[in-house]
Amino acid sequence: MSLARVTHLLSRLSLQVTNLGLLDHIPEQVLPHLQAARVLAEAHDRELRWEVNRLERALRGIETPIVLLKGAAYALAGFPTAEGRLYGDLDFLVPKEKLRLVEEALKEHGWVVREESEFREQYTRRWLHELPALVHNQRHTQLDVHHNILPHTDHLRVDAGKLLESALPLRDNPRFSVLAPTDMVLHGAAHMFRSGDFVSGLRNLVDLDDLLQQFGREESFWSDLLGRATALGLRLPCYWGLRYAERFLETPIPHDTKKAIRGWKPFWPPRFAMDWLVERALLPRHIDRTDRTRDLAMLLLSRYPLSLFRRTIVPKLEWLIMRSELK
Amino acid sequence: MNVSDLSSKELSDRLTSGSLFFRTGPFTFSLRTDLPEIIDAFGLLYGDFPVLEPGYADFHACLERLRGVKIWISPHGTFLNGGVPQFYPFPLRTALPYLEWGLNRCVFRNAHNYLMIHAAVVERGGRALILVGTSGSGKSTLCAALVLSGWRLLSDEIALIAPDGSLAGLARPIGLKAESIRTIEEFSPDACLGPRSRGTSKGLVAHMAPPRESVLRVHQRAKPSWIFFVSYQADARVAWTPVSKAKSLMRMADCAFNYTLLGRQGFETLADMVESTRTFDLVYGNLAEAVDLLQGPDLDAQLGTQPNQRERHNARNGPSRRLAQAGEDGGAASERVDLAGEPGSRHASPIPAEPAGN
Repeated sequence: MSLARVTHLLSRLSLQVTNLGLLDHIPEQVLPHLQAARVLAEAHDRELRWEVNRLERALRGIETPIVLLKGAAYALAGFPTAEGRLYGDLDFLVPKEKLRLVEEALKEHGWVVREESEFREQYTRRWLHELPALVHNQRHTQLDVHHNILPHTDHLRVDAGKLLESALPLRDNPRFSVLAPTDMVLHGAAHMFRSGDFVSGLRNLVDLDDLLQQFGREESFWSDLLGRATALGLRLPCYWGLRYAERFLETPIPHDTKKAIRGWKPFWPPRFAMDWLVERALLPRHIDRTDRTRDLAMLLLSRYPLSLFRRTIVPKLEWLIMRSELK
Repeated sequence: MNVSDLSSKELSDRLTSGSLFFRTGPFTFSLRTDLPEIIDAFGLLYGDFPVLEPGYADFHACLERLRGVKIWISPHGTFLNGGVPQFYPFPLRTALPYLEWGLNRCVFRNAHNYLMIHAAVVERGGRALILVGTSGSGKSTLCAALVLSGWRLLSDEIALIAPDGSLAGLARPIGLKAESIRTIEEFSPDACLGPRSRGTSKGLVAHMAPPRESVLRVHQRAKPSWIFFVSYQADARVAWTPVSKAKSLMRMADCAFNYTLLGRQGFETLADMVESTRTFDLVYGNLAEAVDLLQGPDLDAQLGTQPNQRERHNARNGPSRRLAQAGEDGGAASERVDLAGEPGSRHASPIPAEPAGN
C-alpha cells in the first residue's frame, strides 16, 4: 500500500479492487486507505474538470486550437486510464504564434507566473517547450502552456504543427482537442524517456500501457505508430516506451511491431545503462529510508539524452551576455 | 507492551533498524531513525504508547540525516513518509519538532476517510470540546492546560471527524511555543515536557507528553459538543461570545485540511457538527481563568443562556451592552453579547473571574 501511494497509484488500485469486487479480500486495516484514496481521486477529477471549465472561459475570445495533454486529455476524452488517476497540473498545447495572446488572456483571468528567479523564467521561455508555470492566484492550480512536446535543448526536433494538425476535437466539448492516438503514445514516451520525468515514472508507464492496450485493439494502430514515430523523429523514445511497457507491465505488442523496432535498438552500452537506470528509477526499493540508488537513477535519467552543454552551459552563457549588454 | 517497557538499548535498536511499530489512535506507524539524539526524547514523549510487533503499518515514517558535502558545515535532516521527503531539509537540532510535524503530515495528507480540521480536541464525560485557532492563538496552550486539569486529550493539531460525526483521537504530544512553555510549566508541576528545540520555523518549540490516561483511552470516540474559536490577548479577562452557525461553518471550513477535497460529504459532516454543537469566540489573557471557566462542573450553564434568551438580552440592552450578569437569567452564569465595533471593550468586560461553582 505504501508503495502504491508513493508511486501515485493507490487511487487507481483502490478503484480497480472495487471494480473487480475484491474488497472482501482486503485486510480491514487497509480498507480506510482505499476509501481515502478513492475520495482523493474523485476530488482530483472534479478539480481538473473545473479547471478546464475555467480555462475555456479565460480563452473564450481567442481563436486558437487548445490541445489538452496527458492527464487532462485522458480524463476529458473518457479514457480508461483516467480512472483513479491523480493530476498535478493542467497541460495543454497551443501553436507557438498564439502563445503571447494565450498568456495575456490567462494573466487577465488571475493566473500569474511563479518562477523563483528571472534567469529561471527566461530559461524556460527561451529553451523549454512551455511557458513558465502559470499559477492561479486564488485556486493555486497550475497551468503548463506548451508549444511543443520536447524542449529546445533537445537535439530531437518535433514539428508541433504536425501534432496540432492531426489533433482530434473532443466529442462533447469541441473547444478542446486531444492528440491523435499515435501522438498521444509518442508524447507519453517522449515525456518519460527524453524529458526523463521519473518522479511518477511507474504511473507514466501505466498510462502508456493503458493507451497501448486501448488503441492497440485497432489493427492499423501499430503500423501507424511506427510510421508516426519516424515522421516525428521520435523513434528512440518510442522504442524505449514499448520495450519497458512490455518488460514491466507485459503490454501485449504484436510480433510484427516488435520485429520492426528491433532495428531501432540503440548500441548495447546505452541500452544496458538504460535498462539498469529505468529499473531502479521506476520503483523505490525501500519504504523506510531514502533510496539513494533510485535518486541517482532519476537524476541521470532526467539528464541522460540532453548534453550538459546544451542544457545548462549555453543558456547560462547566453543569459550572462544578454544581461551585460543590457547594462 | 508500551514504549516505556523497552530498555533504552532495545528502543534504540528498534528505532535504528526500523522495527519500531507503534499505534496512535486509528493509525499504526513504523518509525526508523539514524539520529541517536532523538531516541531519548521519543522514549519520554511516547512512553505510554503501545508497541506492536513489526508487520503492517499505515505509514512508514523515517527521520534521517542527510548526506553530502554541504552537510559537513551544517548537518541537516529529512523526514520521509514511505521513503518520500515531506519537508525541505531542516537543521538537525530541530529534528524533534519535525518528527512531530511529519507524523501529523502523514495523517492529514492521507486520511481522507475523515474530515480533518486544524484544531485541538479534548473530552470530558464523552463530550468533546474543540479549540480552533491559528498559530499563536493560544489554542495549544489552553489545550495543554485543560489536559493537565483532567480533560482527556484527543488531539492537539488534527480533529478527526468520522462520517458518523464522532471524533477520533490521536493522543499525541502537544506542541508548545516560546512563552507557552513557561506558562504551562508554571500552570502545573505535572507537565512532562520534552527537550526544547531552538531556531525552528516557529521559534522555540517543546512538546508535552500526553497523560497516560489519554493514551490508554484513545480508542474511545467522543461526541462534539462545544467549539471555541480561541484567541489569546495579553491582559484580557476571559470572555466568550456566541458565534452564529453559518459563521462557524465557514471558519471551520477555512481551518480544514481536506474540506474541499471531501466535496459534498465534507459539507454535510461539518454542517451536522456545527448544528449539534454550541459555538463561541473565546478570548483569554490568563490561562488559569480560562481553565476555570471551562473546568466547572456544568459547562453549559456556565456558558450561559440558550440562544433565544440571548436575543432577549440584545433587545433589552442594545448591542453595546456587553454582559448579562450572572443570575440575571435565573441562575445562568454569564453571557457576553456582540462586541463588534467596540475595540478595547473586551478588557473592561466585568466577567466574574471566578464563575459559579469554583
